Amino acid sequence: MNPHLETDYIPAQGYSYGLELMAKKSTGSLNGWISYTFSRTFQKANGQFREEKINDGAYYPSIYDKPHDLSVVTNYNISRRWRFSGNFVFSSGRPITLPEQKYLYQGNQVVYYSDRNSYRMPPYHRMDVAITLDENLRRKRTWKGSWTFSVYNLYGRKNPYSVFYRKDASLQSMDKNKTQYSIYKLSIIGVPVPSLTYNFKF
Amino acid sequence: MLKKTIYILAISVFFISCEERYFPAMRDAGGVLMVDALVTNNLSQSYVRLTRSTSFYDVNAPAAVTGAVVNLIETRGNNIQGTENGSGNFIFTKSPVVGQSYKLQIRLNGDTYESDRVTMLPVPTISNFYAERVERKEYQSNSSGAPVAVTVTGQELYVDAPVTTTLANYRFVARTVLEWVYVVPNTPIPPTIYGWQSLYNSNTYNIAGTKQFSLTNIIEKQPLMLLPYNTTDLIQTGASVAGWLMILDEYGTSRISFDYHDKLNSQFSADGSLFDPVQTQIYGNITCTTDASKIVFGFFDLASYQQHRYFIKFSDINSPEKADIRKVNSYPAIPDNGKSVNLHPDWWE
Repeated sequence: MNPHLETDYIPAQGYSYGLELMAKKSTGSLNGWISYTFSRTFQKANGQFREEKINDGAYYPSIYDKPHDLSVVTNYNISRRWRFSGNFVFSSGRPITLPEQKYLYQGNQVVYYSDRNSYRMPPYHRMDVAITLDENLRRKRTWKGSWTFSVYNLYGRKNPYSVFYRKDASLQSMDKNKTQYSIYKLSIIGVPVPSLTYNFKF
Repeated sequence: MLKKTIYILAISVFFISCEERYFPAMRDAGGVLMVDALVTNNLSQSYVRLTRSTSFYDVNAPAAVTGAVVNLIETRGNNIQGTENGSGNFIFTKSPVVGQSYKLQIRLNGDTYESDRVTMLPVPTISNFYAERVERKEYQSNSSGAPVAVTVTGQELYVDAPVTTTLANYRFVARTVLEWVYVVPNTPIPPTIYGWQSLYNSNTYNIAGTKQFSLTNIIEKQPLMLLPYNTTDLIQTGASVAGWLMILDEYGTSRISFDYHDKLNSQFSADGSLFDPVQTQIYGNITCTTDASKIVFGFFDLASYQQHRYFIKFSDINSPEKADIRKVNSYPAIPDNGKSVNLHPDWWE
């Protein structure tokens, strides 16, 4: 347990601003909504000592900074029993810090990072679709079931979860001067995921 | 069992090709002055190397910086001028004096770069050198480059060093020379081959220091190197091990030097993982005094130095804690590896 937790924190301050918009259609065969959010979040750490300064005390995007966030949800009643739904989401990538330079110190390669959060991960976007068949619509039937076939991440977008760097084994050479680092991105569920669901109520 | 296998395979599908190389558009950075300076009481160990940094995607070796004037400036104003003996490489002809403070000064293209003042520390010593039998799991690459877990049994070498008011931090560089002997069989006058192979530490720095506010007066059981019992991959088939010659370079360093190398170790050990690694920006102790906006990489390390040599022989690998250690008081230069027929080298123990 750290008895001096306060020595591991850096005092900082921040500010945020933004705008939320939404348009919704509730009636008709085609209905749904579109929402868009613009928001910025910045912070700065400008302490007395060099270890307490980040980016020389200037404001920089916080990890929660997400300038653009768009959601589109649509539902279409093809017939009394068939329904189609789809949604599309898009949001700006998370700010990240990347190694920009490298140098040799006592035969070892050392990387020097960019300013904090000066780069961004690729944006996140994904489309999901679903088609639903209601088994029956008779009012007197107690058991009402429906089948839904859906595809999550329709076009298999490899949305990055994390970006990191490490020594690339394929680029290593006996000459340490030429040791090469590579940047990698990690995606989770980067393939379309189909599913078949049966819902019922009684 | 089949159902379980199907479920595991189905879940694994989601993680296919989930990690791939990524080439973000980055600022074309580089060209920053890098100062790699180590000055000790041993002139052969002292050097200053000036290079330039390169951008992240650049695969070329860093360019050397020539035409600089390098001085070691003492508090009393006495200068020890560096002599350029190769592109960007400087050596000194006089050693710093214990107890005096020095700063490194580099004048280049109209700018002056200076380090913080560092005091020359007393020559380091060792309180104790010993070995213990250990069994450790390590990961080694197989023929196709995949890591394979292996259990290594051998003798781990340790050192104790004193902590005083003037010297409390150390850095160790260990090299072990494995000596082996092979008598060529099936010959009328069988020649004897004396061979040797050097082993080194890992890529991280072996540093030792006390915790802040600690009152201890000794650094205990600092690990140096594991000498494996199984040397099949290291020596000629059919040869027998004659012993191990440990060459231990001990540096007495400042607290700032300890912290700097500790941060380097943090960066070297970051291998990339599922979660973002904690980035450790490395700041040295050199600044540009004529232009505060210019950054300088590297570090001026003023350290005291002493070399120790020990000869280690395993008397019985089946008995725990059995390693005979003898101090060696001669310090000839030893090549990395080699062989000699019928006559062992002068330094052979």
